[in-house]
Amino acid sequence: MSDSSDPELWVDRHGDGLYRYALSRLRSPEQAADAVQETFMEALRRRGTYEGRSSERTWLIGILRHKVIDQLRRACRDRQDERAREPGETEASFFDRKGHWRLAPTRWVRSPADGIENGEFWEALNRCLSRLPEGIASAFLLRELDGLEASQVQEILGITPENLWKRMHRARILLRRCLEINWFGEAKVSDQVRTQNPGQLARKGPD
Amino acid sequence: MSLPRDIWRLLNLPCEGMTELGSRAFDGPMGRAERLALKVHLLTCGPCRRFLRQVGELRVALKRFSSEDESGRDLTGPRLPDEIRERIRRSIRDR
Repeated sequence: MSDSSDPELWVDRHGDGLYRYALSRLRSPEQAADAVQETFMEALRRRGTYEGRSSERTWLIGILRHKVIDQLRRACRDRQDERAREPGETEASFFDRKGHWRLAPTRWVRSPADGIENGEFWEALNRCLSRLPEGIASAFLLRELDGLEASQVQEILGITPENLWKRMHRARILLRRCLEINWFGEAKVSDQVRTQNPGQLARKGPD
Repeated sequence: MSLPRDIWRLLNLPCEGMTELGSRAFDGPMGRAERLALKVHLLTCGPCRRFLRQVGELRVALKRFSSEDESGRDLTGPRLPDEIRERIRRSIRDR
């Protein structure tokens, strides 16, 4: 590690980012704080092995990811009963009793590509991810954001393939809906056009 | 079970089951019957088509989001509590 990287500065530079990473996956502030502390301590021990090929943040997140996975594994052993619970049974239903759309997706007036350079989009995405229910969030984030194989996620959380598919489906439904309300939807965009900068948001044609 | 009978059974799935099949397609390969049944359903179902297209667009954005995660750009949101920050600083100093 370069001389400019004083371990005491790590906490200021990366503390919040690492904490949010851990909190989004673990949901317990105490567990997240412990995982962050363990990460910094392990980084300190392994300082000599950091070769500077990746950014300091990427290196630290790599260590933290293992800590988070360990915690999730332990949590799954401690809470066997959680395994049987159907994810999302308490959420408002998007489908009627026969499985037909009750809350069908609406047209988006802007696409995620329009938001890539927009800080507000990332904030909305971040907020929506943090609102996913606990068991669903860890499965979805490990798979979609951390890029773990489905079989690894099943093993870490102690769930069946069928249960993982259900959680992923539920996560996609909830996330899509949350972003529709907070970013993509007609209501949200016309709100912003009225209140902020009219004319700046190009409307897409009907799809 | 034979392929036509499988497809017939799957074709009777409502939108909830069909979007689950479609969602599963993002996560790995599907059987032939599932693939065909989904294709046929999507030909006639606008809301499911829209759902899967939007979810696909979101996946692309999420890939970007995970690299932002590691880029060091901090979004607003919960912050590491001060007492934990101090606790970690102390343990780093004490080593």
